[in-house]
Amino acid sequence: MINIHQVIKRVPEFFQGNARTIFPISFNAKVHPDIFSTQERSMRKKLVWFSVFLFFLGDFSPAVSAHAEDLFSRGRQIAKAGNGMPGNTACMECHRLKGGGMPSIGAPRISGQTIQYIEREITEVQKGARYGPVMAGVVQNLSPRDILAVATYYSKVRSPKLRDTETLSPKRVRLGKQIAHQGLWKKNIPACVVCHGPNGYGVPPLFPYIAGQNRTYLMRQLIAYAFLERKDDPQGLMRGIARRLSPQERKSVAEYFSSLDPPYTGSR
Amino acid sequence: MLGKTVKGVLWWACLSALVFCDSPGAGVASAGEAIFSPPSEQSIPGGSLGDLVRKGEEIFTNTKKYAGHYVGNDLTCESCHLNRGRKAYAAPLWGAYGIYPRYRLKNHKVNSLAERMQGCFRFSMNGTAPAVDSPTVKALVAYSYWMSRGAPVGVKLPGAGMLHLTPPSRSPDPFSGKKVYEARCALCHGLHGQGRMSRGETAFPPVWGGKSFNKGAGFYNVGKLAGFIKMNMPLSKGDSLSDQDAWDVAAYVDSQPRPEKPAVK
Amino acid sequence: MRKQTGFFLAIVMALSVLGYAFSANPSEAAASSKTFEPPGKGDYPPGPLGALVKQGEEIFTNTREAVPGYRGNALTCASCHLDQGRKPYAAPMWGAYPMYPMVDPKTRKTVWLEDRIRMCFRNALNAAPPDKETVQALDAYIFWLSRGAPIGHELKGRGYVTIASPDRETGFFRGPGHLRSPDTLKGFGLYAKSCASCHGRSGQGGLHRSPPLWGPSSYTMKSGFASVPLLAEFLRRNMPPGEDRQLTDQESLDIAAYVDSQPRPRGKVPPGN
Repeated sequence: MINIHQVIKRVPEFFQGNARTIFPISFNAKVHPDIFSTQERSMRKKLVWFSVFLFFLGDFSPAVSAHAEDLFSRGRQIAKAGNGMPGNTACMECHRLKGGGMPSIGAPRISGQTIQYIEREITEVQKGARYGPVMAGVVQNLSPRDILAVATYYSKVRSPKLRDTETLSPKRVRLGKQIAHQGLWKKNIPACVVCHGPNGYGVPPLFPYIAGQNRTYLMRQLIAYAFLERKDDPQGLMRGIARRLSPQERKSVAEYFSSLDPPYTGSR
Repeated sequence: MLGKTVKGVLWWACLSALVFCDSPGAGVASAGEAIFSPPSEQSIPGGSLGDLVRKGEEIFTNTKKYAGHYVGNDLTCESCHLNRGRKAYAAPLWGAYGIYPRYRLKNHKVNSLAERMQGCFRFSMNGTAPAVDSPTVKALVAYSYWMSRGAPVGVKLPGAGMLHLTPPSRSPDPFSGKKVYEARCALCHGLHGQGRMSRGETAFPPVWGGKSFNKGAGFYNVGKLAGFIKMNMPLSKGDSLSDQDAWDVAAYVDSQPRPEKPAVK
Repeated sequence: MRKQTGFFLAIVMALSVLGYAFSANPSEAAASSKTFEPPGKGDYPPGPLGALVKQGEEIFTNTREAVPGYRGNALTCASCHLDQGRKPYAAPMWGAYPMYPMVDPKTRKTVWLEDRIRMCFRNALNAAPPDKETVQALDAYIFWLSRGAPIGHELKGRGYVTIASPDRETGFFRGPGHLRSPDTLKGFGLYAKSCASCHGRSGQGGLHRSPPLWGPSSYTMKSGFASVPLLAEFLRRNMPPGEDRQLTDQESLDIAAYVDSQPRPRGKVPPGN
């Protein structure tokens, strides 16, 4: 049968409106979806109906939901109390139980980021490619399954936006808005929203949302990309951009995105 | 002695002033690479013309919303004409307004800018062409007129159109192109060229398949696509692929299935 | 030794100043000294665009013969836009092309070059609206004459020379100099003396290919030249052609008033009004 694990991973992507990214891969990665044989097409159709059916069941089918619920509750447990291994403190100490983050210390808001993104970032910290002096110690003893559990949990919980500690300067927010939407092409910097999605709401699976993220975190990441050892960005895209931004511009962009409302608020 | 030193210093100061004074002008003249800089958004005038220009910009960046009737895929004007039609070597609008009307081999006619834009809608947007005097085309022409303020009429500027990439030593190879694509392009455009969505909106344009440009588009020409990729892709890291890689990727992308060219009118 | 060094210094300074002057923007320098120079006569672009430009030039200078089915008056585009649309201060084409589309100050609507060409056909040539091909050819010709002109910039020599800015709305002439209201009688005298030799006593035109100035085959009451100040501005710099002596501001106004007081077609109502 189909690898349930994979389906779960891809279901959110499907519901964000791009069926093609899920199904073709499951069958034949080399063939373009438009030129499937009839057999494959009918199979694909069946799968689509199957997932629609699952959707209408309220949650996923028993087997799938058991698995997902399993991961979710495991994730929740780690978030609440850690996994019991040395060094692993509860995620909620900094990210809160609902993933709203902690603006005062620059802990990022993570609720609603995609599973793939959270999973990837934790792995990169483990590998040392992503600069994270605090996180490195915390996640060193998470197993791949634990990481997936935590990622599943935080991608599903919802949190309202938490108040940032500092007041924003309207002038910087204005400059940040301009950079965010129009870029600084004189320095070869495209608009932030080109890759981070309209309004900074992210582009699944790997481009995180940055709207409503806290100012301190955004600033820190831009600086880490520019000067420190954050090297997990694909093809060094962010490193190049962060380096070309002036300190004032980095601050402005961070302030602008922190002034926005994040996606995926609400309660769960 | 002191006087002599002072004089020497003065002498050098003057000489360096001469060199310094001359160099920018000379550099511009010899390299011919001074890229035109279009006026800033703030300088769009008020009144009916300004409204038209602003409308043109809206259509340009959000084509589906403002001219959806004419659009048959998931692209916008800005998908190819980067930075709202301002980026050099990405067919900027300021490089286009001044050189039309122009004879084009593609349709063996002298085309006005409006007629050229119709081609964009039919081929690159895989849609239907709005009439040359439709509000959509008028707004887009007005937008390019305003952006060309100060550019000379009838002169091809450096940075206009796409980079003309010299043919590679090895014939472009879609198979090596596939490898480069998967390493450098798939992150945004997807393994299957499908692009990426963000909450129902197209975030990264599809580069092949039913939602991309058709076989009549300029980008179906491997050389043009290679020139564009070379100068602009990956976004913000233009000019990082080798010429050969750019050709290979272009050959790979253009070898993938996409809508047929619509029949000539 | 000392003298020599001083001399050298002076030369170096002078050179640097010169270098600076030459490195300044050439178009600005040109604008301050002389007017824009369009491509020379007979200098056409290669290929089919060149053919279209040629056709446009033919229509421009020989409207009656070159436009199929033309049923307008005896004027051509070049009757008003002198020297085939090249002459500065005679509404040259190179002064117009870079300025379109523009906002009409009266109606506040956006006017395109094509609209303006149609307006000329309707009001000045008293003709039916030109077909698409005619407009395209004229557009190409006008485009070609503007080669190198900066888009959106007002070039020196575009339009007409301004004379003491009479108020076009009210028709009053309260110039800062000695301008008085135009006098048609004085205009008649001046016309007989300076203009009639070519344009005829009754404004019928004809000599030296001069266009008729009034009567059934001249411009209509809706055209630009039916406005006295505008006609005066044209006359001031351009008439009589080729003569050393130019008209004064006052003389231009008087002649313009006389010419515009003569009978002429009422003109067509633009479509949509």
